Amino acid sequence: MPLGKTVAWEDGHTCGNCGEATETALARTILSAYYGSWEAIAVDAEGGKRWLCLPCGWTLRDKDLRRMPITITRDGTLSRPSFAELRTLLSERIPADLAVTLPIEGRKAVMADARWGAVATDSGSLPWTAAHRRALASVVELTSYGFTEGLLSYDAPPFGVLSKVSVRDHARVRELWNSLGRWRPDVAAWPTLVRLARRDKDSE
Amino acid sequence: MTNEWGWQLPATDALFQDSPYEPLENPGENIAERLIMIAHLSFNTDVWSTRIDRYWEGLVERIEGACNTNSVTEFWQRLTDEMALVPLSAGELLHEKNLLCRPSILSYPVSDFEVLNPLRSYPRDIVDRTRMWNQYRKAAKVSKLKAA
Repeated sequence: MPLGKTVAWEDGHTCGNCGEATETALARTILSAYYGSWEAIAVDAEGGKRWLCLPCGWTLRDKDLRRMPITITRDGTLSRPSFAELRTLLSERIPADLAVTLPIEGRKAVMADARWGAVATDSGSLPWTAAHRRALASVVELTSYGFTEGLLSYDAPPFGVLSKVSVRDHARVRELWNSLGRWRPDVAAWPTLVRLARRDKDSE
Repeated sequence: MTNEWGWQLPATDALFQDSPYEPLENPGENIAERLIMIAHLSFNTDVWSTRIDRYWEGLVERIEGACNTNSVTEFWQRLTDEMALVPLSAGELLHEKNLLCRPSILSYPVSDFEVLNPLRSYPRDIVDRTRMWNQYRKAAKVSKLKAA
């Protein structure tokens, strides 16, 4: 049972997530009261309740889907890439038969926003354009100089790390840092780029 | 050491000798960096020694605050007040500081705007350059002492 619990399925309602008129169950019987994305599930106009179909119930309920990056192919294969693999994957155009989910906070259900050829994050589905790929390349280059995920949001390269970088590379670091300036206020793309800078635990 | 604009500023030209960076090529930026180096040389131990970890960030913030003017002289006055800078004791440096505060009277004149603009736009970069210069300057002093 994909939900890991028994719920009562009924006909005659529409899924509040995907809009399919299929067998559904009350969303509150599938999801916990502490669930953080209720606003994404539409309320049934007639009964004033939220209903979910089985696939949507699974994507919204499964905690692993909210915590780890996942890639999905059209044939239904799910895989869990490392951050290094994800950086490599996202350095190029995402194939049209592949969807990527990248939860940021671990509270939002992002799988429901997954789209082919895009990255789903806490802020919804993000089309992965050439500009995003260039920004990711800058992020990756900055991490190679020792700037970690937590430091990238600073207005300027923190001196503690900068002073350890070879002086001949300082101009390059500043250039990269400034090139990311326009991304920092972007509430959808910037947390995604920063999260992609994360080092995999086994590489530390 | 001289500069490419023919300014008679030997004392501040000499400061760049300890810097790991090439002097900035834009005359306004070059003057701005000289002023921030001088500001650091006017470091007030009484005020900053107990909160030294806030000093460089404090310098950036105060530069940002002092830049809201169209006169370098006014900027310097505000920075002096805000950072509680001590008066310069080296006469030559003091003279050059006075010249740098009036960049339009230098032999190759530079407008006040050209000096203030980099301080407004990227004060942290200039302070970081000064901080690196200071680090190298200290290291050079230590190695000189060791050699002696």
